[in-house]
Amino acid sequence: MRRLTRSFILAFTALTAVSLAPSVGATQIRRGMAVDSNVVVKIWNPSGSLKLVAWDRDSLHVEGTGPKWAPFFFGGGRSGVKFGIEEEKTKGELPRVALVVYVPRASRVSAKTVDATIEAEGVSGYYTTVSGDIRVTGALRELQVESLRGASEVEVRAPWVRIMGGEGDATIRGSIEDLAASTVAGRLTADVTGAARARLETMTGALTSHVAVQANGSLELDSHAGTVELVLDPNARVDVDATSVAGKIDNQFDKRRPLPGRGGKGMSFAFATDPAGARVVVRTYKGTIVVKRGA
Amino acid sequence: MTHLTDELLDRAADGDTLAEADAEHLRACADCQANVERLRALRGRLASLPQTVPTEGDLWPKVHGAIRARRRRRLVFTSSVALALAAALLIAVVRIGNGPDAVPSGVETSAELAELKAVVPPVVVEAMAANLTIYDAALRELEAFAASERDNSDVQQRIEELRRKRAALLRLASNS
Repeated sequence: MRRLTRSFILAFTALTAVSLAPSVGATQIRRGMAVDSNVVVKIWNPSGSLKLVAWDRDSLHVEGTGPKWAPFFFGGGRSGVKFGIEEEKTKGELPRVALVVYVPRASRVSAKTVDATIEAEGVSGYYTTVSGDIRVTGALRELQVESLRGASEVEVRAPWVRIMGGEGDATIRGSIEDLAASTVAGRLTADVTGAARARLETMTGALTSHVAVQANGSLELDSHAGTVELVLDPNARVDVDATSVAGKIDNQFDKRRPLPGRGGKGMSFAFATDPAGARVVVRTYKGTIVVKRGA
Repeated sequence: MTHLTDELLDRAADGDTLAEADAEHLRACADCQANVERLRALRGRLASLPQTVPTEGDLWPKVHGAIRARRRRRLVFTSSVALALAAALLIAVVRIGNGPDAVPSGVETSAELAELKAVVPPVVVEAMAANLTIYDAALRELEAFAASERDNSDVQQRIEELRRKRAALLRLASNS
């Protein structure tokens, strides 16, 4: 009788374990299809991570892991594919899903997350998140990054880049022809070459610009209360116009002295190299402006 | 350089003839020209106010428009033309009284966040609350400065820019 009871308990335990296993275990996601080289891809992965990799094939491939209950959807045709987590079926709990997606190099991806990190290598597109970090690298046709709370790190060669951030820091490096980037409280740092037009803005975050602008180009820096650091190369050809309504200007580039503003409030500083070159405009309300000499 | 006073800008916007010195300043000053253009544009907008008038949030037509589009909620005045014109006139008077660049009050910001809450996850609302606090503090600071220097067009421009950026951030949040 005792043996029978023990066997029963063992059998019950084994059955329970088997029946529970699928609900707590992980599942593998593996999908793929032939697509046009310029396919449009839309991805929604709220939580976890998303990695995008450009490859030189006319196909799309998705690999991933996540909880078994994660409601993954996938659909589309050669010109457009859409996949991700069906939010309506998650009942408020966001599954943490790690996705790796391979797309044709000429594709255009639109990816949205809540707190999932986004990492893209050589993939052009529009990446937006609430609090995840975003990192994009490689040669792109265009890039748009938006994050309310996460940090953005961009190291690219691209003709057009737009970055909009909130509290997270934004770091931009590379060669970018047309750049616009802003944060609210996050630090904004740009180390960029080959810019024809660049506009960098913060509200309270510190802003550091080491942007080499083409001779006929323009660079605009603006902050309400953040310190703005304008770094100019010694051989830069520029026409600088800097004004702080209620803050200070510290010129460390050469020996010229900034002038006090109207009514003794704020400061202004203007100078041009000979020959003059790119138009550089710096504006703050009460943030300090520092003009520095780059290496 | 002394810019044209509000009264002179008003007269210029009306197409009145200015004193030669003032007219000369206006011809040479991009800031004053921009202010005159803004006044004309504002009057054009007021003149063409629709007979459909939102009952709240009229200072944020783009933001509220985007949110309302999702909710498919529209309030329409269907009374007589006279009533609609009277409502439009009332709004115009309130707008002029408050100034088109009045800083959103705490109540307005709370209302914006409440509307956001209806269409986006709480985590977005939380992030937006932090960002809007920074914008509103900055706007209040600039408004106070502008009040002490009424002819400082740079500050007025900054206020308008900040309001545009704030609206852009709200649009971004409502799309999250």
